[in-house]
Amino acid sequence: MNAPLLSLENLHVAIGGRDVVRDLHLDLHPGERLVVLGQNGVGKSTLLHVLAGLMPPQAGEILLDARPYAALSSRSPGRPKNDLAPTGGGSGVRARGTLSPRAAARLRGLLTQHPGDAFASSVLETVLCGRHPHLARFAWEGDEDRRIAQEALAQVGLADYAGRELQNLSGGERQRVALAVLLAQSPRLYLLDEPLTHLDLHHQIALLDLMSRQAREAATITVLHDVNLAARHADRALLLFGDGAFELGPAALMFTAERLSRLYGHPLRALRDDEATWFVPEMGNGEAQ
Amino acid sequence: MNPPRVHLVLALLALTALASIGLALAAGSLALTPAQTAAVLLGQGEDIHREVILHLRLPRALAAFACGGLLALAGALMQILLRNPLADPYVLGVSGGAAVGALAAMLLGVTLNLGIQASAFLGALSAMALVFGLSRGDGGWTRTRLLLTGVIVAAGCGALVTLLLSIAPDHQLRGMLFWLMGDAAQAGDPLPALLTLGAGLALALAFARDLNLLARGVTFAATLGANVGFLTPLIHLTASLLTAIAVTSIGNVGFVGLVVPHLTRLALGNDQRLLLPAAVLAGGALLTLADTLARTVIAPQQLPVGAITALIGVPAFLILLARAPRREGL
Repeated sequence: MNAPLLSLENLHVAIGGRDVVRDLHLDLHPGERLVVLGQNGVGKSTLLHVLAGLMPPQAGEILLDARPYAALSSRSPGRPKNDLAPTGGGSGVRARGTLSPRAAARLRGLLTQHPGDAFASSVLETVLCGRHPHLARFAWEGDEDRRIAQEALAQVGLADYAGRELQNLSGGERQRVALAVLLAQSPRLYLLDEPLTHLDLHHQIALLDLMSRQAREAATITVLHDVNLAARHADRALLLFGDGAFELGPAALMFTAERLSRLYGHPLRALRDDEATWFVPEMGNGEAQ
Repeated sequence: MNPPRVHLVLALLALTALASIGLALAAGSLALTPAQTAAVLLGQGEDIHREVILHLRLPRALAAFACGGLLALAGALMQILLRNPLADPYVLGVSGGAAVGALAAMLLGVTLNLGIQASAFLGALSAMALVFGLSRGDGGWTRTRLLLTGVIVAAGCGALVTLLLSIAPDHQLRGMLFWLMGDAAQAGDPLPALLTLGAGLALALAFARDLNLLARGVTFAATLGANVGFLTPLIHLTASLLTAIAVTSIGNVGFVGLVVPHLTRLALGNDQRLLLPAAVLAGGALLTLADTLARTVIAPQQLPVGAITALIGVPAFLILLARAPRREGL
């Protein structure tokens, strides 16, 4: 059994005085796909940001490849000596030292909204940003980095877009550029916050397939709103109920009409065919509910 | 953009900067030929030429170059920090504080240049500390809060400046107005500004790739490994300090800090590894050139250099903007 890539102990996350999760224990191994579901505002994005080490949790421990994130403080800029040391792993023993931001960025990546566009930038420049944690301080992106960036663009179906300006792309295309940045970063844990936003049907499926292929070596934690895509994409599911309560388990157990109805506060019906179970919301008949 | 091309662009800009300084040394009421100027710089030449170049024009040209570089660098850093193309070195109130300090010293009868500069620097540091303290007091830092705090402090300083001007006796008004518009005649020893410029640029270049990420957003930068909690106060303090040194030396020269980073960005793209040194060279060259014009156009009358920078910068900027339809959104 491999050591877990991500290990959460007693995790307590809250935002704005509301609990997101309390006492969450979770071991995520390479090759696993975890899907996070919940109503708007239950703190799914907050949870991903905490797991990415961008915000501190209320309590509990987050171990990424057996190491905790360095303390988040503007007063402790020190970079640990082991920043450039190869990351341990496989042994299961807790490695010493904390993860500097750079070291963390080689292990986990977060897909959020579009890369900012206050200033003009080409698609290739943007994707090359993903190589930052792999480059030494004064190094420039080399041919290998450019090859990786081009490959990432090809993977999201934007092979011909390298020279295009980010500003001139549609929302869905920018979402795929953001994904290409993440692929160029090539982390071992992918944190995906509503990755299907702005994508058309074909690209939604293509993205999930791509992530499933990545998940053969890496692990993914994905926030999704479409329960049917979630059910087909998840190995495990984490349901957040908005008051710190959660349910975590294998997809087969989590995706039931009863649980999902309770999760969304809306009745759902399960329809079965030979292939899978499909969940459809009960529709009001036009009258106020 | 790859290292060889970057070096080529920077070498060309460095040559331009050297040419602007050479012009500043040669031009003036005592016009010198390039050969005469070179002779002085090589330790020869006539005494009168040596006197004019080494004691009058060279310090002033170097001060103008250093301050132009400081303002351009500070402006580029502020635009990244605030992720706002409209940000300039003065947006966070540093120059307002310096102006209050300088004018108050003048009003109190300080005539010694060094005294006015000390007071201006003190004013700049006070405004900087005020903005830094208020916007980061409880650690919860946002761009909007920083921007609003800076704008309000700047507005408060603006009101104080107006007040000082209105109660100042007539014979002091002209000196005050020149200070407000920027005047390299009072710059004094260029060494502190040059050293600050070198240190500031070296520091910024060490974080240039992190700054590239930060320009695209705080979360984006943080997920890709930039130490944002360390980097943002560092940029804020560095940019403020660079601005404080510049305005202390030559007063509130406008426009260089806003337009030079944009000019370089439009021409060379937004990679800070190229943009920051290029902006320093271009800003230095622009201010040196502007100062040379300011003291020669209607000599012996001297014009405020701030007016000249705007008169050169505005058309240059508009032409470049019109020629670059591809780069939307700046």
